[in-house]
Amino acid sequence: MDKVVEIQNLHKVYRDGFDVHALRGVDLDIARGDFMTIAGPSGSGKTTLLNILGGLDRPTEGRVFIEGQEVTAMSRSELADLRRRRLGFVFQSFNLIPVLTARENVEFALILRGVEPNRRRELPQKVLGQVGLDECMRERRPFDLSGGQQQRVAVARAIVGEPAVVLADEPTANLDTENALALLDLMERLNEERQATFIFSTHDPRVMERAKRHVMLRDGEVVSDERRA
Amino acid sequence: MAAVRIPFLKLAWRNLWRNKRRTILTLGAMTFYSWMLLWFLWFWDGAHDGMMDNYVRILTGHVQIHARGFSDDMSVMKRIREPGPIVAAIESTEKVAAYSLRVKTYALAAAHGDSAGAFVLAFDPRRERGVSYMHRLLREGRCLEARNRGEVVLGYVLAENLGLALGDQIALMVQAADGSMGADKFTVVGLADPGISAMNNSLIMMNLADAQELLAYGDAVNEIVVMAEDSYDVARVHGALEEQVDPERYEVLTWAEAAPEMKEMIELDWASFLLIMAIFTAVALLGIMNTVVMSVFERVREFGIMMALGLRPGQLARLVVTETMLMAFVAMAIGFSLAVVTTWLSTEYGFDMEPFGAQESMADWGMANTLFFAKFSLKFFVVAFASVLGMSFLATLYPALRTAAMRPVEAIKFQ
Amino acid sequence: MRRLPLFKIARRNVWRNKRRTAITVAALASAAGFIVWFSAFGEGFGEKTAEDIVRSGLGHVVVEPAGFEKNPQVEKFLRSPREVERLVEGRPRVQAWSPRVEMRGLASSPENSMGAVIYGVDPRREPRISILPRRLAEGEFFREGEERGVILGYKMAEVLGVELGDMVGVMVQNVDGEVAAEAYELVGLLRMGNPAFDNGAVLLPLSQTQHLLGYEEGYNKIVILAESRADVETIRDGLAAEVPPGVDVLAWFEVSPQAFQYYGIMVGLLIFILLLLIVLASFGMTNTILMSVLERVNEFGVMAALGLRPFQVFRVILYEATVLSALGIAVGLLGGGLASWINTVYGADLGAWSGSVGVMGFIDPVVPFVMRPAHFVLGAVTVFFIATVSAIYPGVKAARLRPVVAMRRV
Repeated sequence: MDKVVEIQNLHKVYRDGFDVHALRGVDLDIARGDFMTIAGPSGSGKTTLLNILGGLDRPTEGRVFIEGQEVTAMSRSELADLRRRRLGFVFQSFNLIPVLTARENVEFALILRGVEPNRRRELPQKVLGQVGLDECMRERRPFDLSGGQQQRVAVARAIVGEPAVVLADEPTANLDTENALALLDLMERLNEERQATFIFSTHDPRVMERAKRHVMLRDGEVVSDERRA
Repeated sequence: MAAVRIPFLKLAWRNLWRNKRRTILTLGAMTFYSWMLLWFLWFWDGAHDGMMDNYVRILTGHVQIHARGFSDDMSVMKRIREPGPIVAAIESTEKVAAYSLRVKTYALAAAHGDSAGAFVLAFDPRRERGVSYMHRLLREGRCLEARNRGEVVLGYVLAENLGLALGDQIALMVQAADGSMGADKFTVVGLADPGISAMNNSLIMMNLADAQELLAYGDAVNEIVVMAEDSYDVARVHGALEEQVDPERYEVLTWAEAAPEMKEMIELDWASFLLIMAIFTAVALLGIMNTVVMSVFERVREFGIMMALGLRPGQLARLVVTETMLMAFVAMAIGFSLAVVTTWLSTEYGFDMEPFGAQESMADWGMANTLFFAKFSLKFFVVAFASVLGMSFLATLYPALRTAAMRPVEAIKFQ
Repeated sequence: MRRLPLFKIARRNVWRNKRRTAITVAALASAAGFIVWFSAFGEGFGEKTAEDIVRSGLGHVVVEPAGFEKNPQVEKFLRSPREVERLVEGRPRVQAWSPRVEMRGLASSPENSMGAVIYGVDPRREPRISILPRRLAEGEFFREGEERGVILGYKMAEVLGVELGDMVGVMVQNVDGEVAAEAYELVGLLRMGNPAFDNGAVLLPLSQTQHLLGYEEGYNKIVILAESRADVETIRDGLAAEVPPGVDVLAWFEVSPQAFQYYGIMVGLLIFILLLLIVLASFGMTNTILMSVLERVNEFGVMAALGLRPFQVFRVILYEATVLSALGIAVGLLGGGLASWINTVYGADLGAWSGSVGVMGFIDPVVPFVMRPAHFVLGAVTVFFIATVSAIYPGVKAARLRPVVAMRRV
């Protein structure tokens, strides 16, 4: 198995007056091309796990590797570089940089990756087409887009740089069914075409139905890890 | 892979227009600061130039040449016996606007049984016009004329003290160069108002030839005053003259050496100006820092997204700095333009201290003129430019560092 | 109708977002603090300027023969000064006084001579009323009981070409209209930083000038130092009512209008600068208040949705500004007051900015601050006013918004 993400014995203790054990020894391997959900009740540690995976937070103990590189040993700048080159993020809401238009938001991710100007102009148009954003919408700023449109732009931005892993936090939470299904179709297609790994933190049954693998967390531990045929 | 060129300017510019009111108010503070700073600098400089010019025009000239030691004690014995070669040297020096031969001495003036100490200043009226304002100080009567002999123009307070009116006779007693007492009578043809207390009550102006006779000087003089074309040329003219005259026998002084108290006074004035500007800067800095801090904390989530996209801490800090600096440049464009307008107005019309009732106290300090003019100069433009930039940068430093130190998990969280 | 707890809502709003409150309070507090601090500096500077003028020999109140100020003739002097001295001595609010002779004359050396103002000073009393005895560049002041020697302005000594130990001739017209001249040993050089003294002052012991002018026990001035500048008019008016005819009582600003002008210019300049500072600080204050409200328009939209009437929304916002300005004022007055208080003890050293403060005739370049209740009132009122006015615009704006619009804006 081609392991994209390797998580070894991950612990996270929040010392905030009293100790809260958010993660108690999580071990998890994620293969390239996985299309998986991480679920669990609130307080189960899934937020913490995703934060650490994305290099946004550091564990108390344990190690995380992404494509063989030890994320947990990186400096802040190295983490920033890793995020810009290998990771894509889709958040629940307020995803976009408000002063940039839809196209510019996507282009921004390319600028950060150092893509040359010619490709930087074409690629966003192409990917925005793939996510189904009408051309007339592409020069609008986020404020003038609907929630579904904003999420599509966020997905486009997350995948345009062809990251190894896309971390998505409740990407469908604010969408109606029609938009949610379209978005899922899109991500599924990208997963298949490009072998991009998608990790969703969600309870949305619409997402659960499509995922190939379900990890369940409770009290900071993995309680089930099922693969769908 | 091409180098990463993040469009900081574009992002900063658009961010500024997101919150127009805040930007306009911050710009307002910066503009006000830039305007005041530059205008005040130009005005202060101009006012000092004016003070100095007055002082120089009435008392010292730009450069003075005496027999060595004359400036210490004004002894009548220390004189320039042969002014000819020095005059030739002056005439061959560049950047010299004018020069005048003078005789200066203290005298006892007497009239109607009263007497008073006096300061005699003798010159050739035709030459003196080029170097000093003496002819402009007339209050009553007429100026000295080169062809007439035995005439004097008095400081009006001296005339009052001695009870003298135009046409009256005044007796002067001096120590002459040959050791005798020189004494003669003169006719008062004019009353002058030099505007400087110490001169109002002691100045006596006369023709050079009269003084030379009174002091038994022959063709000698005891001061040659030189005016440079511009105050910036003083050092050059001074240097050139110093090379050409015999340092054993003559001293060549600049106005600053001849009147150190004026120089000190200007320096002190700059010191208090600096203090006030420092307080000004502190207030501007705090105000601007406040708005920057606010704008940063408002956008924590947004910075979090940028961090997730892979922007480095330093790049985020740079974005914050760019926003403030952009405002600083806009503010300088407006503020400095205003400063140019107000400075132009105050060079054109001047700023008169007289309505504030300042003439007497200023005369006490040797300032004859209450009308001040601002003065453009590149030097103070650069100073103002650097101050505004420096102040803005300092104001943005703390919020920028706070932004860079933000941990992504605080800024943005999976929920 | 039941009263809505609008003020409580406002107070809680302020507490809820600690950071926003901290920033706003910081803006208001720094403005209030600066106003207090700068006012205390200005007050101290003005006070020092006036005091230095007064102590450079002028005195707060002067008793002299009628018309002496306008026309200082030698025949005008206090022939029997004991009577006036009794009125001055022990008078309430009089800190010290000293007799003085002032007369124009001529100072000369073998080389040169120049006009001068001759001061006859009492070696024992003069140090209590002026700084002249302490401003000697060289030599020593006259000693009591040993009334000899002469002190010259240092520049005058340069012009005359004399050094300590040399003889200096002093010539005046005496009370009989004759020329009186005497030679004295130069015992000190005066350096006041004021050209009028440095170029033209001759100091002699009082008894010597009385002898020279033929005044016997008489002299022509009593210079009085009040306990405070505020007492000047009281002392002047009190004395004026009691002195015998033919004697004038003048306040310092009547004796030296130019010194008073100079003081006035300084005070005017400082007030002008204070105004500019307030304008500058207002931008920051307005900005933070404006932002802290506009940032939360949606919140007020929720309130409106709950049924708050526009005017009530407006009041909540105004109350918030009130609470914020109260906090800012409290912090600012405390901080500014503390800083000023430190500066009343350790004055601001203007000499650190330039080595040449001597020009202004300061005793030393350290300006101690002077605090007054009015400074605190000024700081508080200014900040309160600006904070409240700044809240009106966003208040009206938030009150006018329809709830739907307000809540949609995030």
